[in-house]
Amino acid sequence: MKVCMSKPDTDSTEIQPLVGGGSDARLVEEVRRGDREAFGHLVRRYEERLISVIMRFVRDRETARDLAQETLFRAYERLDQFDPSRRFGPWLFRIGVNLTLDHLRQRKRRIWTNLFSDSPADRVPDPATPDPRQALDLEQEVRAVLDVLPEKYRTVLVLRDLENFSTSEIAAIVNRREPTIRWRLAEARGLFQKVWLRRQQGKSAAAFDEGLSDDLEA
Amino acid sequence: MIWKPKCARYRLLLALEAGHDLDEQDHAELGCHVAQCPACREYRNQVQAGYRALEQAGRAGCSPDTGPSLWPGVKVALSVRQPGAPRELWVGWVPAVALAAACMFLIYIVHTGPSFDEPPRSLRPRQIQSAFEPFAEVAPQNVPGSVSDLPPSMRPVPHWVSDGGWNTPLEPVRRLPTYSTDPRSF
Repeated sequence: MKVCMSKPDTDSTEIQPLVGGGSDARLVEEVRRGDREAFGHLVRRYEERLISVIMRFVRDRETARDLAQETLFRAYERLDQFDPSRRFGPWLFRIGVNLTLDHLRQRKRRIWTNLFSDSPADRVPDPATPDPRQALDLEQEVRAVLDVLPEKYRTVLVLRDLENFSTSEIAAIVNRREPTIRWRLAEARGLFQKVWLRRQQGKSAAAFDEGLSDDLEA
Repeated sequence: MIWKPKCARYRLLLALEAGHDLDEQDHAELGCHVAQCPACREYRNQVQAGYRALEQAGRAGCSPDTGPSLWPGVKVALSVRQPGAPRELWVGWVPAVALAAACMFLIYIVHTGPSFDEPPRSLRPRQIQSAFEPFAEVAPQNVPGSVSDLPPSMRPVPHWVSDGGWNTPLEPVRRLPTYSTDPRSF
């Protein structure tokens, strides 16, 4: 299965070093020599995109900023492990995405703990309260569907279809081979389509969960 | 509509095609198949609808308000950190090294400890030699008139023999009384 490496140029937003401050490799070398201001150039170059990518996963802006800050700390500490022959951007985003996914896993565990610790009366929905899903706009609907997908599919979809990274960049970010990413992307889109369609058709929650669990297990 | 097994491959290609991730050759092959397969035609519409939703959601959140720059805060925090300090590597090494050291210490203790077959060190004849050493220093054996020249009956008796040293017979082991559990013995 041969596929193109990237989308057409019209919507491609590959990680490009901005003008000013020199190339990424040169800045990294200067940071390694002790020039902290050079790291400031790298931070300003990537922070906006980094926060944007993290916000696709966590939604809350302050949490995304905290995670982005921690990502930059870790990148600074591990700069000796960075291979200068490779691009700095995907390496930085790999740290950020892994950190974000770890954060989400921990949050999920906390939610489960709270669910089991709450009294059953607290979990019964109030019939007088309208279903909050009715108020979701398109973006929130998409996010709700993405949340249902397994993590490996959700990550690829977010990076490719929401953030427009190329498949080669995604391969570098998630540390997998590019054919694996393309295969995973195709499966992820197919799975998203199934869930999206069922959600749009307004099937009952039981049928939705039942069919979805079958798909995810397959 | 009839589902064909070979459609599975084309549906993966359709998913890639929706996001413009397919090359021209596969695109042409896919076009031929879709033209003959109504099920895949419908699937193409569904996949493209899903992709359009993703695309719109991506555009809606493409320029979020990320707030002020992180660099001032990062700069302050970095003042106490050094670049490239692999602290986390050490954190991973310490428990492993500590566990290995503890195992080696345990093995050493087990192999060098006294065996149950041997008497305790305090009862071994090494103490006898060490008890004679003061005499050997005072009167070497090759010097005329030394203790070794005296007949055995006239040799001085070491204190550990006279005051009940190792020659003193050990007290017999006291055995605890045993009780029969047979009810007929009561």
